[in-house]
Amino acid sequence: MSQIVDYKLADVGEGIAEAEVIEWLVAVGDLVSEDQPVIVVETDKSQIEIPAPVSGKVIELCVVAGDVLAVGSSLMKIEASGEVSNDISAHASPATPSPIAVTTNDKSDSPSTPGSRATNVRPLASPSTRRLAASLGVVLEDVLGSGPNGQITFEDIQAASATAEPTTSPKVTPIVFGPGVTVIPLRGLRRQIAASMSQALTIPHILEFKEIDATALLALRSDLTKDFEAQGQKLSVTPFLMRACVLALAKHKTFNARFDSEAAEIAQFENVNLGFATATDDGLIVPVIQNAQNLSVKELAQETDNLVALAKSRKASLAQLSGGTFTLTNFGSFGTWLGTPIIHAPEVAIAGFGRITEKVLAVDGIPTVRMVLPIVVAADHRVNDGAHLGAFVSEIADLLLRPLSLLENK
Amino acid sequence: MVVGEMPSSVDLLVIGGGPGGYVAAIAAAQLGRSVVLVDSNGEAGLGGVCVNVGCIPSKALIELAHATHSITDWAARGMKISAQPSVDMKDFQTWKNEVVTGLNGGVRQLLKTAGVEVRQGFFRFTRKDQGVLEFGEAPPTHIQFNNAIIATGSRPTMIAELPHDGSRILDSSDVLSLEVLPKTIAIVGAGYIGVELGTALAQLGSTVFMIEAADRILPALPATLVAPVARRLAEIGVEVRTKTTVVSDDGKCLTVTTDGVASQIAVDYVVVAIGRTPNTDDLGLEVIGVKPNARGILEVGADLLVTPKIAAIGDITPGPALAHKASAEAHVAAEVLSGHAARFDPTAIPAVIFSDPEIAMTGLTLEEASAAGYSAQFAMFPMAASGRAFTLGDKAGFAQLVHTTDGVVLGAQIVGPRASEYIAEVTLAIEMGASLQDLADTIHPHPSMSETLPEAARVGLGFPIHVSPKRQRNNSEGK
Repeated sequence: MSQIVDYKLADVGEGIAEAEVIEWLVAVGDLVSEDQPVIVVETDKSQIEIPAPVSGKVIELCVVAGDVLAVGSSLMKIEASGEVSNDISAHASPATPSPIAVTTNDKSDSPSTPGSRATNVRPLASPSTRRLAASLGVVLEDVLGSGPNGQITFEDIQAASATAEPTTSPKVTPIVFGPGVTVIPLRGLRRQIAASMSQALTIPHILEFKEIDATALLALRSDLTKDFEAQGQKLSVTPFLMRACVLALAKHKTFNARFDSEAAEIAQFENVNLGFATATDDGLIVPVIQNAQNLSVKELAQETDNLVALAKSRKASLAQLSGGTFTLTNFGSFGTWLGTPIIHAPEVAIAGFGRITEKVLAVDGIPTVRMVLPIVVAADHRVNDGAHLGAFVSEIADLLLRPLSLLENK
Repeated sequence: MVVGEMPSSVDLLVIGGGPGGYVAAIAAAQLGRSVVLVDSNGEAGLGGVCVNVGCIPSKALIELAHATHSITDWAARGMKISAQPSVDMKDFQTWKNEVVTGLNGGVRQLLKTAGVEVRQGFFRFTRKDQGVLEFGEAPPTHIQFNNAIIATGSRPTMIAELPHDGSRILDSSDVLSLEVLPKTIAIVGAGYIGVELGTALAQLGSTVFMIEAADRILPALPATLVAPVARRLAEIGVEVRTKTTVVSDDGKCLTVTTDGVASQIAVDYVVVAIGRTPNTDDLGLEVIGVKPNARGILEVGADLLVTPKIAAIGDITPGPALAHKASAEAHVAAEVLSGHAARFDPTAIPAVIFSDPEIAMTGLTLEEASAAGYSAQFAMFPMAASGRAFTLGDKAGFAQLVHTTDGVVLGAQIVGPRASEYIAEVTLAIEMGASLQDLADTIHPHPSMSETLPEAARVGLGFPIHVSPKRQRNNSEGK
């Protein structure tokens, strides 16, 4: 007898609890083979193709493009053509980018109990409570128990029944108000940017600004450009700015951290996983250079180019887009002066660099035209105070004023 | 159906009068349905295999055997009987028939009071809402129904090498009707039925051989539960042959092979107790569009429906072939067919084996709990630390609770005296989502075997009273 496999979205790790359906690559009735990509989903990190768990015939697609799925949601049902082993439920380990779905046999109950693996763990409920749930059409697996050990009570069932609404998130359809108005549904990366920016709003930001004379920095870059280009490596100012941040963070570790308000903990890191904001056609993405403290200016330049290319083509892996401890953003390319950066939660600080322009500075009491770089650092005030921030910004400025220090091996 | 003959019209038809069928009939009648129950044995079949040729008579035999056998033990504890105890199976049959007749009559009365009509015959579906009832030479009668509940149960599975004759080659039901005690008997199959019968007959004085294809008795059970039973079987002289299969029988000798080596066992009787086969083959199920699976089981979901109008319950549905499971399904089937949103969705189904010592289980074993995804542990309390077990003179076995790391009770396995009588407490605990602390804080009467449950719970909590905390905690005997 052929077996119906209920294919569910699995835990992808990194605290990602949901994913958005971008598109189906198969339709009902299609024959699929094991490991053939069937659906494209997007997490707030990246787009991922999920492969079929078994060979067989697609009998139902449980979601449509635009649906936002919680971990444990059914994706599709496949009538397996061969034997399906019971332990098919493979789970992606955190930071493994590709396989992010699990399957269960259709008949088995698979409640997604918080904190548990996808299993046959039954919701805790007494027989009379189960009877009430059946009579009210409440699915126990959808109810969060308020009793001891998460037990579902009579009251939980009654409350669930009273507020029974479609459990899937409402479908967003473009509404046309009239000529000249385009309503764009919040989808994919834009939706996730919206969510993470709203989250950042809960962080009490403190900002400090400084302008520095970038003449020496530009001179150094210009000196090195020829050698770099001979090796096929373009050289912008950015890798120097990165290096300055990394060196400053080594002295000011409270900025190289993550804030966990639930646990009331600040995690401080020895290694610098340096994120840098990258504009793509779809929206803002933040690739992360892992262990940036070990990289030279040249290596930072190479790694940056590499990650920017991956980010722009939306091919960066989850590991390349997560785990950041500090972020850098460059306003210079926008043609404006400087901006106020927003901290990338759960990190606690972000450095922004503006456009380098000619300005008249007082040098030894004489008005002199110099190349000036505006710097800003935004910090989480719960973790650092103004005095700390001032010292940190000054450290970055000082390093950039003495750019040869950026070339020293650590 | 003869042209022009009108089928009799029935609101709800129950097929089978066993612990599934008669309970379904009464439950449906209580819900306001007009119920007709058909059984191939008519009123004499009420109570089914369980009452007439299964659970009840076998327990009667086991009680006789236990009482007879324990005289020796009690002689050393003060009981003096002048004559050597002996067994008269004819007297036993008289008493057993009183027991069976009493219970069967009770069911008749209950059905009568509920207004359920009982008809005799073999039922077969002829249309989606119709069937024919045939009995002997009587003209078949046709029944049209609004709803039906199939509760046809199961029968002993026989094997080709040992064709059933009812005189030498017996099934489990035949054994319970013997009017003489076998001198020698071979029991083929050491599942729970075989072990129960073999133990009882050996205690009564028969020479018992137990033939099992697997590498141990009660192969479906965790090994740790079986060990005390295997020891006791050896003590009472049962010769257990594992990894052994039957080749043939010549009327005097049973030929078996053990690991490819043939041997002969001379016995008066051979009992085939290798399992039970669901009665789904001659029901005309194809007419209603239902096909049993390879094992003859009707696959049903929580609503127990096989068609929108017909439900199936008991041994013919997935799950253990146990009377109490059939009765529990009976309520659900009656409600579902009467328009109520009921579900057969138990958290735990207990099972008891009247071996010596008794084995009782409910919920999950440690292995099952882990496989289901629970972070599970177990806590064990030995009968040797129970005061009540001391006074019963029977200290073999243990009570074991399987629980989550949070202490929620998931299962229990009890081996020991009267285990069958208090496993229901843990079943209730599981259904109610009780924790070890709940069990530990519930006052149990002293002295009673049920005290082993709060004691085991305290072991799990790390603060046992009557055993040392370290010795009993998860000592690797999980299965």
